[in-house]
Amino acid sequence: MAANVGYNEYMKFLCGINGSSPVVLNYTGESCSSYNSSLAASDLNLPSVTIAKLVGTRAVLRWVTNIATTATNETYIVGWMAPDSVSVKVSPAKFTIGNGQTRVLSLVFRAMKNVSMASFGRIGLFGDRGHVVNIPVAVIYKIAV
Amino acid sequence: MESGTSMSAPHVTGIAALIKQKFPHFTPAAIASALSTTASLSDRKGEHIMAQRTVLNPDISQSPATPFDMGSGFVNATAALDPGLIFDIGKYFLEPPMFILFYLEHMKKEINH
Repeated sequence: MAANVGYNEYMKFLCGINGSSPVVLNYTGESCSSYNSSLAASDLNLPSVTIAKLVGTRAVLRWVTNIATTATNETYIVGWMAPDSVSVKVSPAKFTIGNGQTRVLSLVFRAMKNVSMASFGRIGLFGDRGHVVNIPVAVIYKIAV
Repeated sequence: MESGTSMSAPHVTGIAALIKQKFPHFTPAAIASALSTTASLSDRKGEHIMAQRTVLNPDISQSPATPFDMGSGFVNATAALDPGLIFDIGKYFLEPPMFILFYLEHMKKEINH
């Protein structure tokens, strides 16, 4: 099983929250400045995507690992419902993944209008062996460029 | 069945334990992924999950729940034990007390602003 992000990623995630460094230092004893980069909240490999402020276009990557115990290969088709005022594109839109393998998906979001009210969508991965993987999507501020 | 965090926490914890039993190598992130990606978006009647919007008149102030209300939906134990794909976040994780303390601190700041 691929452990693509670990302790460092959680630290970078926490350090990526605006103004969090004193709190991170208080509870972890680690300074955010010792991490070369911080992680935007949307970039933690969670089974959901939240973008607080979408200016123009934003690409988000997600790694999925096939852990099915019965089948060796499964072919997934990706479907999605875009949030209001946002266009969504996922690639690859279809992929075959073997047991224990990891694939990266690129999710591209584009703001189509200037809207400040949160809108919600969904991404679904539908496997030909019956697995359905659901990912909620939330975009709050949308600023079309 | 009652609703709310107090009711859901022990159920979800129990299902998390079942997942860990079936997949002992799963990280906490992998367990959470299995619970989330397989959750159901409809209630027992097959209707959309609703969210209560006001404390008064809870029955007439409902509207369809968004992910900000319901997260990924209602947990489905059978599906969570066979998730197919998982989104993993490494084998290290934040100790729960630290995570909770961090969140409380962050929320205090949000409220004060």
